[in-house]
Amino acid sequence: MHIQVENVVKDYKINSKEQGLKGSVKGLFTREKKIVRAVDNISFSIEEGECVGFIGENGAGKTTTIKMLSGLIYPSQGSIEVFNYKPADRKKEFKKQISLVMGNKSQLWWDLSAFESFDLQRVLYDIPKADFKKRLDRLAETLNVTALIEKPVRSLSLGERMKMELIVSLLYNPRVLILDEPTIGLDLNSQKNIRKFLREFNQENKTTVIMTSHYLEDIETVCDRLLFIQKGKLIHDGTKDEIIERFSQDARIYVRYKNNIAITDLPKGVTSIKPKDEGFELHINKEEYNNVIRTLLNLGDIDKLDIGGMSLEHVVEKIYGGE
Amino acid sequence: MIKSIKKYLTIYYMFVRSCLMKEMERRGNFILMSITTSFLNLYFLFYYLVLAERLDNNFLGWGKNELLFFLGTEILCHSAFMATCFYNVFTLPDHVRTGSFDFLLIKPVNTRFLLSTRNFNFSTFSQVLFGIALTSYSYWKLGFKFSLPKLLLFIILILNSVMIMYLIGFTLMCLAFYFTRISSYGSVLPYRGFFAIYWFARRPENIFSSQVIQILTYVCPVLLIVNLPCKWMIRTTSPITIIWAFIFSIIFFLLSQVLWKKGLQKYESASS
Amino acid sequence: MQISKYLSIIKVSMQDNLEYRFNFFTTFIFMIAPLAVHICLWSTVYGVGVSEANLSNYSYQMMITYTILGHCLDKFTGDVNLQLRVSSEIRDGVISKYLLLPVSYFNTNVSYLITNRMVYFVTLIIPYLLVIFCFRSQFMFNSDPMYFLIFTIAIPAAIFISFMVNHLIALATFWLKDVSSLYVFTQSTFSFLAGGYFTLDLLPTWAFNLLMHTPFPYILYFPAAIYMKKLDPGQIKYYGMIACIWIVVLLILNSIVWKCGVKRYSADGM
Repeated sequence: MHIQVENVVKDYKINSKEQGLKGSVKGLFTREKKIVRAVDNISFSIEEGECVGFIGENGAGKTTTIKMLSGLIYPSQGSIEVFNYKPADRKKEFKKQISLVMGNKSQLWWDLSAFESFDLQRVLYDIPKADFKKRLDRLAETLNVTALIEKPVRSLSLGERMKMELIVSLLYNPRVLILDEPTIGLDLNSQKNIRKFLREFNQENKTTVIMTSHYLEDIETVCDRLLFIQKGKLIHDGTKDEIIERFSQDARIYVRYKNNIAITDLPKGVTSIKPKDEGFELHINKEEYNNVIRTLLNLGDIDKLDIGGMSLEHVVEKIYGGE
Repeated sequence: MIKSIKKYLTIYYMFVRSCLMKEMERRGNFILMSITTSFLNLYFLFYYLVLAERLDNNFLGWGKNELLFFLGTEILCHSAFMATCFYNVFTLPDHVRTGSFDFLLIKPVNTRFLLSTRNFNFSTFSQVLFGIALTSYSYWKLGFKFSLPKLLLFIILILNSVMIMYLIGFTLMCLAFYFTRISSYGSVLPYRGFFAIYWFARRPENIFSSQVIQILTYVCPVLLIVNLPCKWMIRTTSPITIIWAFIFSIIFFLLSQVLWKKGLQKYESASS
Repeated sequence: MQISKYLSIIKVSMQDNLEYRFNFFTTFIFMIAPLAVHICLWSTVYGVGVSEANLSNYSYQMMITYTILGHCLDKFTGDVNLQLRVSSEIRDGVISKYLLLPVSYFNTNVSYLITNRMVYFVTLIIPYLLVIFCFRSQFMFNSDPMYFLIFTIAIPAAIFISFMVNHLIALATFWLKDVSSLYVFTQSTFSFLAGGYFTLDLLPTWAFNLLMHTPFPYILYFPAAIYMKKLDPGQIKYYGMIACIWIVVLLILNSIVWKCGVKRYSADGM
């Protein structure tokens, strides 16, 4: 196995104090300690070259999990192995093979050009000069930022900066690229570019990509596999279709009639209906497929009929809602 | 081994170069900082001049020029520290707070080295010139002749002093790991602690009683910082004290390394 | 109604200040260091033997009293965080809300000042009383109620003058980009001119007279000198008047600079 995580648990001790002025004074002398379980018995494994996405609410434990994968924090219980290294040992050889990109934090020198940061990376990671130049040119060209490398980082837009972050992380050809909310705060175009780049880079170089994001489009476009973490537990590990299949008993039907007929009596099995684009979108219970379709056909002449599964967004919303 | 040293030297050179480029970009601020820090030294200069005058040129056995030499030595130590270490030693809480500490941890290079050398401040470096001027002038006025070996040891002692100051600051900063809440006072605390300790080094040691001098030279050896190099040049020192100064730095460095490693473990177990 | 607004600011900032547990317990040690060094200095100097005439007729008692009082007043009247806070509030645009709220920025800062000083008083008074107790034989205990009364009046004036001067400098953020170097300069300059490094009586007479016409000595030297009865009633009246004039001038300056600054702020949309 390329990456193996077994029964990992992460507990945090936090100080709690009472509210208000009285609580603050009390807090000078004693503080209660509470134990919070951020990650609760998670196990999974990842093969080389896979693209895996972590989704879950804020505070579910995604960032904690990937920080444990990169060796920044160590698990309270359980074991993690990333290509035969224990990340928590933080050996130099291990560090040279992984890369971490964080969406809202930058590792570039703010006042200088991005090139200075790249050059520093070259020295830090012992990248041979020829390889460095080749990779830099290639990455800059693919991401369309060749002209911007010499400009100071503070003058770049957020999207351009994120591209530079990606370059600085990939210059030394890591085997694993870990991204924590890479597209946060970016405009639509930049988001699309980054997704496309990650997908293509993974396919070309077989670099394992592990990503967390709140934008489901990131996960849908880039990742083949989803790990859904809720309240510290791993509640699903599989493809997008599997998760939809597993968590949703509903199907989605869009129907539009030629004569603008309104649906007044809802057939049995319809969980919700709403108008959409001069027609209606119905969510129906999959078991009542036949019944509903027959009823719809009988109502009038159909102009358009669309049947499909639920969207990932809907499923995720449902799970957050309290499944 | 050699390759490793070369690599670390290259990294240090790149940091210094980047800081120089960064400061040159903001020329106005650079000039302003250089001027304002000179004024700080001027106030201390007035202080010593007034004292010397009021006390008939006899401040506990130190004449005016000796006081000036002392001030010059203090400026050299202080400004060398500010230029090389100050902006690194107290930045740990900020790194932890903003999350950039993770980036330092994840590089395949010694994290302590990266943290301690990242910033080099050129505007305070200009104070070194002031210190050199003041020490040279007062040394000449005192009638001493130039001696190269003496000067070399003086420089080495000052470098040692900077190392001791770095270690004091670094050790205090490691305490930041133990305050799990890196509040804004968590970042001010090591800084204040450092200056509280440094205050005991900033005045000629004669102001203390002889027992206190012994304590402050051998037990909590702050007097090794400014007083030792100064006395080496214009008074007498015992070779034992000089050797102790170097031994102390080594011991202190090893202790700080232990503290650092322990602090890192705490960070890893309780991050975010 | 206005008062309740400021009272709630007071309540929140007290909580804020009490939060920092370690700061509370360690402030004592860190504050005492420069004081200890200077007491050692003067003790040894007087111990060896000096002619007091040279030191402007400062007896050992007076010097020690001035040193302790000077340190105490320096910490008490100067809010280190004020400039940084105002600076960052201007830079980050936080003051925009004050342009919209029915609360003036200056008055809010004054409320914050009052609460801040009250908490400081509570945390500082014990360590300094301890120090005074240790030096009770050298410290001058003022027996003259009149002088002591004027001393207690001079202290809020000192706090207020220090506040206004620092506030005024902080408003420079409206025009300058990087003010941190300015603060380092101004803080040490004001400390020096106020008598923080040594008692102003040690300066040559012309320098002393010149300095007393600036606002700075009223932050530190003036209250301490009153306490030690170094000034006669005539001098106190004269200098007191200068202090009052400066308070008015600083208030006006603050108001003008604020208005200009806000104009520039709104125009540039910082």
